[in-house]
Amino acid sequence: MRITENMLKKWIKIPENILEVTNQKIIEVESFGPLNPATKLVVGRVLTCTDHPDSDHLHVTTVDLGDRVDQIVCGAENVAKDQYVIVAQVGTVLPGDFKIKATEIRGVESNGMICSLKELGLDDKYIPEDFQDGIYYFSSPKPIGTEGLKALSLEGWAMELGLTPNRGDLLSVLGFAYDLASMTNQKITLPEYQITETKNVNPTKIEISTDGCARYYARYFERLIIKESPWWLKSALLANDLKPINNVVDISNYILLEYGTPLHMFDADKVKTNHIVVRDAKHGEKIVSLDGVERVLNDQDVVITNNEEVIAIAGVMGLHNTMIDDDTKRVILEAAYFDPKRISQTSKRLNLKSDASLRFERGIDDQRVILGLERATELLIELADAKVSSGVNGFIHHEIENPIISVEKKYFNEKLGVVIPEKKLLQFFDAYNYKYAVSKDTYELRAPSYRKDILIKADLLEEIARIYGLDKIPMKTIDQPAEGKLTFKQKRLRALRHHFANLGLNEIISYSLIQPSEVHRYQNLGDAVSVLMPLSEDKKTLRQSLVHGLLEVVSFNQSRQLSSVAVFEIGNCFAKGLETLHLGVAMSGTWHKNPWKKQEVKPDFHILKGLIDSVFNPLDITFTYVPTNHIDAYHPYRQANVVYQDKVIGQIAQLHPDEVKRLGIETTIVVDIDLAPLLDFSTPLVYKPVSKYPQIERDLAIVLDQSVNADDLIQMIKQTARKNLVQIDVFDIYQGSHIESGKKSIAFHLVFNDIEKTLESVDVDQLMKKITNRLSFSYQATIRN
Amino acid sequence: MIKHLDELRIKALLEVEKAENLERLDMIRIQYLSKKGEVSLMMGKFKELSPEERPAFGQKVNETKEAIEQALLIKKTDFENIELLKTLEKEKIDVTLPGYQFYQGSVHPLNQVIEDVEDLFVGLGYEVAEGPELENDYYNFEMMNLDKDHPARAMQDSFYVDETTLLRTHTSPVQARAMLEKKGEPLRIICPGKVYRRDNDDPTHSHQFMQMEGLVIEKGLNFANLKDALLKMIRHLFGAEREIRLRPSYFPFTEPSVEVDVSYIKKDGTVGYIEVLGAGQVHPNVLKMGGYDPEIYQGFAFGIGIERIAILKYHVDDIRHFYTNDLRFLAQFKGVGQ
Repeated sequence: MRITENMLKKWIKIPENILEVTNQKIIEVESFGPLNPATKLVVGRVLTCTDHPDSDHLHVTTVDLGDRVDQIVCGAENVAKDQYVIVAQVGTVLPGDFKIKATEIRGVESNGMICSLKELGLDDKYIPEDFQDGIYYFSSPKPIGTEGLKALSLEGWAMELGLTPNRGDLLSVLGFAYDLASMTNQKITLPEYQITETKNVNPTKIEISTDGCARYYARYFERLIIKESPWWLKSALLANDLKPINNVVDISNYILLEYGTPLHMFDADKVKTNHIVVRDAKHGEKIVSLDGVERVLNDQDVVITNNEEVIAIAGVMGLHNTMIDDDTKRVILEAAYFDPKRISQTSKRLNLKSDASLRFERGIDDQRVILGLERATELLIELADAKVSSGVNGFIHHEIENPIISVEKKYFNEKLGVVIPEKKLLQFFDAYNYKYAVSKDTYELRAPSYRKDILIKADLLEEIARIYGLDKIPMKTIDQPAEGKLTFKQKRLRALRHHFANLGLNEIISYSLIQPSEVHRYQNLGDAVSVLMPLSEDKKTLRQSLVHGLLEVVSFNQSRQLSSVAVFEIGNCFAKGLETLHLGVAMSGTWHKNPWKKQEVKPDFHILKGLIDSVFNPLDITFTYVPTNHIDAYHPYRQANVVYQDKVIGQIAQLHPDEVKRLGIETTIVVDIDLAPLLDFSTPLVYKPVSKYPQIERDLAIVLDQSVNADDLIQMIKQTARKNLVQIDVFDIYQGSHIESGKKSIAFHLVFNDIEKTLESVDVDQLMKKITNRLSFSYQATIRN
Repeated sequence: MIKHLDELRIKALLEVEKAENLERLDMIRIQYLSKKGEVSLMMGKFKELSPEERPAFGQKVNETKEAIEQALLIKKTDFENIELLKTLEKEKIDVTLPGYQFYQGSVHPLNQVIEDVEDLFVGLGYEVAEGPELENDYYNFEMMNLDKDHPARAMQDSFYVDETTLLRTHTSPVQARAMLEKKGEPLRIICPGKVYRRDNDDPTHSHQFMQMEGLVIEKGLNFANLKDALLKMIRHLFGAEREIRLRPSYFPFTEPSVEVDVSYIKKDGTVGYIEVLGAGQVHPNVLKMGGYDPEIYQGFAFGIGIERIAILKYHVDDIRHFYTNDLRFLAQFKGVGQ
């Protein structure tokens, strides 16, 4: 909604700080500035107009500006002597920051410019055909030397309101004036309408047979002359981005802006019966609306009929069968109050949104409906020479009344934390035009009919808060103490995030919605979940793995010559009936490096594995890694299930070379695991004494079949040596010419100790013998010297 | 004889002083201190002395020996140090060459902002509540006082996945769940998290973004308490010199509702205000649905966009930067908060 100074000033004395009052006490102001930014325009009269001596299209004019006569060279074809025109003087700034300077055009001095509407910033589509090319001139004399913008009714400011759905009352200049009046201690006086009726009696008959219409009024007009609207009316519409059409349509739109009460006009001759019946539509009833489209109605829609056939969809759109055309002579003018919910449903279902339906949806002032009708009548008489039959015919189906709200006297002060004396409160009630009664402990209040949003105590609280001044309410710390804390899970997540960052990985956040065809590429958590109305195909389905986003980041950065990428993300993954928190890591390119020393850490499977182990080790979480090859996008021989407490919680893998090629990235290692089982517990720490006795170290190299996994051997060694084995490392892997093909050599470094006594060499020898025996037996391993 | 010893000592010390290398020092040692050296030979004169003179003479010989040995040792150490230094010099490095380049990690700027705000509110007695992103629309809308026909529901074009489930459009459903869990007990929470709206991505919109809402429910809570919490948050985030300005607004779940602007100094030195968040006192319907009697309990709530904070704090010019994850962008936030 745009409020212009021009339309507002007739209702109220506008305060100097209109912007602040509006923005801080009424509603957010989205923009505020001159309606038209042009400066120093004046009305001039063309005294002489001759052809330019050195041009076949330019004219040399002299223009009377009141205090002087200036010579102006004008290129417009339609400029002529005796026209009253808008002149941009030397020093004028036109919209688009176009400064007018004194100049010479082909040898002839020119001091200013005679303006076209386009040069004044009007959109082409709004400019009347006569003035599409060339300058604008007034149809009647105007006082010479007066302000040009004023002559065009384009003076003053315009203010765009950021309307909220509750404040339907602000969808009109009058409605805004009421609220501004409350804030500035003024009262709105309604005008007397200048209506002279003919002797003919209004022939219409009105009936309402639906709850969807509370009241309905009609006026009957004859001998209406459809023509162009005067400039002031056009300006008012243009200021609100409404295209002027003709006097009758423009008046109806103007009332919408001024009163906020939508009107509808029927060609009375086409209505035929003069009998207006408002009823529920029948289920499946077919009609052709004004735009020529056939539409099917249902019983939630409200329709206007001539008692035989439908002539309008109430509050939403008229029908083709009764529309005004150039030959219309008699008009039935409708003003009504329709139920907001019914209009909302209909306009939504038929996808017919209009300025009228918007106002009905937000709730118009039912008491103002008749005023809008009378104001329109006044204008139709004035601007369309209409002859109006005597009398307004109406039907009130039911009264719409705002509720009486009972409020304890202490309520406002208690809930706002302020001290407003009763006298002041009552002044506020008066300012808002509330009807109220004061009893010993309570106020009984009823909001005026234009405030359909004041229904409960809390609504009144907001009213008192803003009229009192939100900035005047003090600040006070809550009295009651409370213990704030992060949960164990939240602390653990934070620690994980910082651990990864400190180790040298960048945290990323990526989109949860991905392309449906990709959803099971890196993980299958179950049936995919997709949004019903996606913005685009690539943001349709909820991810089941974080790898998608991680790889996109690898690709984005590597395509910008940033080859070293080590990133992680913690975020939710989804499947039907499942939402769970995942951790994902991707590493590609070089990680740490010192180029001039030719040193670098190139991430590989085991670097990422070690990284994951080192992050989870402090949390007493140990994973096992079981070879797998079920994910095609991963290297079939370099992928493993990450297993925690016998459950597969995710995978770690090197990308398949085909995948690397497809994405156009470098070799990349990824991990994606479910964090849910890892967050909710902590292992209590109990100190274990450190052994005082010296440790014994042994190396063990064995040769066995190359398919045996290292971890199986380690587990067997651990089980065999039990508590005396305090550390085991793999320190060599060998396959090649020195051993049989199909076999490998693997060497372990073992450290033994005992907490209670010095371990003797013989004890360790015995343990080593046990170990080698078991390895030989189970894996046909031979000891290598 | 004593005199001769003195002369020997002086001579030896002078020679030590003048010695040019370790070999020469060795020669000097042999010349004076070896078995047949000049000082050692002086011990042979011992027999020529009277018993009374002998102790003093013996002592003198020892002193001379020690003095020369000491001088030799010092000189030797000097030579060794010089030699070592020569070796070390060959090991000279350019200390100005770049060090080992450890890959610089970072926490995502949005999570840094969230942690920062969490720390503030935990200190003020709040807990951090969480809930699912894929949410039942009852929690997302109905419990927030937006029934199916509510006009405000049109403001939030959302991603439904079926008739009743959608990607949450705000973190308010977490509040709804927290209220039900508390079963009528007082409550003080903040809820940070991802939310989704059907907006096309552009410099100021993102279909996925992060929000943090706060909710306090206590007996006797009032609007002044809300303003206090808001000012504390704004000053914590943007600086102690900031002021807030409140404007009337509308949210279905609060009444009264306000928009909160934060002050800033414009280029011309005057004070301007920029919108940062929405807030209000909890709507009685929301309290009722959450299991609280609005005649006994009052609440306030506020909601702020995490990207909005980061954009204002760090002057980021495009919301999409947070989701593109350009390493050159992320790396700039490596040390925030340290």
